Amino acid sequence: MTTQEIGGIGIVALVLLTLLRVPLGAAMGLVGLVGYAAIDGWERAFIVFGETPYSLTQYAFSVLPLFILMGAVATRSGMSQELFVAANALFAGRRGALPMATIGACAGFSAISGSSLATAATFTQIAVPEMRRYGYDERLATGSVAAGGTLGILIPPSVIMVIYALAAEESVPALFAAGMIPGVLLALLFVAVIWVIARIRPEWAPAGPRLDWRERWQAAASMWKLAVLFGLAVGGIYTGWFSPTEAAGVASFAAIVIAFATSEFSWKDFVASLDETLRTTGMLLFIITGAWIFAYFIVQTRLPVALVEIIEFFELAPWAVIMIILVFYIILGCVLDAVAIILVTVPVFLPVVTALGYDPVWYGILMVVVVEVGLITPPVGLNIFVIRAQLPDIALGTVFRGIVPFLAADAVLIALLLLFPQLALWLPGVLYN
Amino acid sequence: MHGLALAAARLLTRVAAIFLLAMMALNVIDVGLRSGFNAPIFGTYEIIELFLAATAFLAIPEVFLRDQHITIELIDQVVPESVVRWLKLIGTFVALVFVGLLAWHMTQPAREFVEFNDVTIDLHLPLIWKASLVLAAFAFAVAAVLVMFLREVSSVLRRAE
Repeated sequence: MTTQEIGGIGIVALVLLTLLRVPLGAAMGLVGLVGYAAIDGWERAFIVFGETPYSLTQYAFSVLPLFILMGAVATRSGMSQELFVAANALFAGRRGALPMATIGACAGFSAISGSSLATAATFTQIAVPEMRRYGYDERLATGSVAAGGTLGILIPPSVIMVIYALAAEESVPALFAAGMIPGVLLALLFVAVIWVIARIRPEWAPAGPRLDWRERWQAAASMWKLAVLFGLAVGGIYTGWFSPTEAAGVASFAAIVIAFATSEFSWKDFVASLDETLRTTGMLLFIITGAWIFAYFIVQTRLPVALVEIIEFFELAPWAVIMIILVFYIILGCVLDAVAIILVTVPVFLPVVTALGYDPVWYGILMVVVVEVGLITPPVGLNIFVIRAQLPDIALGTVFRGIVPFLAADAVLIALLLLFPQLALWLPGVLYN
Repeated sequence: MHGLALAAARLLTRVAAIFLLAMMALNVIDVGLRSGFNAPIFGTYEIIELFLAATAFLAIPEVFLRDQHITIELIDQVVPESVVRWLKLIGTFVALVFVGLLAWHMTQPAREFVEFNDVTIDLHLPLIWKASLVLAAFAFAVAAVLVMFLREVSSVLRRAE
């Protein structure tokens, strides 16, 4: 049996185990171990296996728990509520003001939280009841929260980008910079979708009361916390003050100080933020342990080399390969979650994509956007389930119908990234040259 | 038994919290000293890696006991509840095999760290310190998955009765 055939069997086994409810980290780790042993023998396989968890204690990984801590503190200290009020002040008086404010607040919150689920969960509690109160259609209300939540992993700092950077051995600052323009663009596209819906179906999006300029400025001023945290977390990296880990450490410290000093953030909230951070970190590190073992196996199979040979044999154009990979990701996004998709596919596809001449940073951003689509498409669509869990009286079908128009915005962004890679690569180029 | 195990696992998570806060504080102090006095703390990277070893892994047992590890639950929608219970049992067993094998084979590199007196480059911290934290976390994880496995067995048996 060739190593590529063993690789193929390994991937099928992984899919079967995960579909049979085996925890993802364990499934990847076991398949990786057995596959590696099939190629290189049990002795070598057990050495690599036993060394893997120790290799995950390298300095670069410390950025993960620290950024997660900043997001957890920001969520529990009510910064999201203030952001929503500020974003609402910007759009107040227009049709569709509240869903637009939701998108704006999600974009802002994404700048201090690296998680889509946290963003969607937070704004379900804040924005949906408000939209219901003003008579907004439930499809638009829930759709805007689900879509806005996806900005959490595209606008830096982003936990998913850090995981991609670690898996692909790419620079975290470069990926953060690359996500900035596509993230803002996607937020604007979502606002455009709401504007169009409000035009076509005005009864879905009633106009609320207008605010005068003084009130708008007052609300906008409350965004200083966001500015400080974003400035430390992301600005600090690009001004050369900090490494990504230092930025995460300083920004999480600042989040704690601001939370205690300016809100009703209690000791209990603080402990809960720590617990949440550590459980999320433990969950991620367990999957990463399995994924690293699986990645060692994939390297041994030389599967990516075989894929490149197949592409050369069929004389496929690079763009056609990217399209095939994108379709594959969208299908995968319907059944796997974002972390899993990145960790399972990077070892297989990244060498192929780079062999075709594409930039790994651009590919990382494209992956994050496509993975985002998976967060809001059935049957897995984790953001949708987060909303449903908090608002059980809204039918799942309502949320799914609400999300459809926003998928068009994602499709436009993917097309723009394919046509104009500079949307992702320009900013890292400017900052690093 | 699950309640007792969860209480012990929560304690481990709290220990990890101390290391997380220490890691954050070290970063802040190091940046402050470097920016203000051009006097960074020597060996920060190595101390942070030591703290990370505890922060990253010590909460894994609690995640298992709370059943929070990422699992694809698609099949729940297409098979009866009794089948889901069996699948949960099998899934937990596979996780137990994986974590058990991993913990066992992690002892080999740990023994070598001790045998060869391996230390870090700057501060000469014994590598076994870091390794002990990771190894302890996985040993506790084995116990946690075992508790979950016994729980699933009892759930299946109860239904069978």
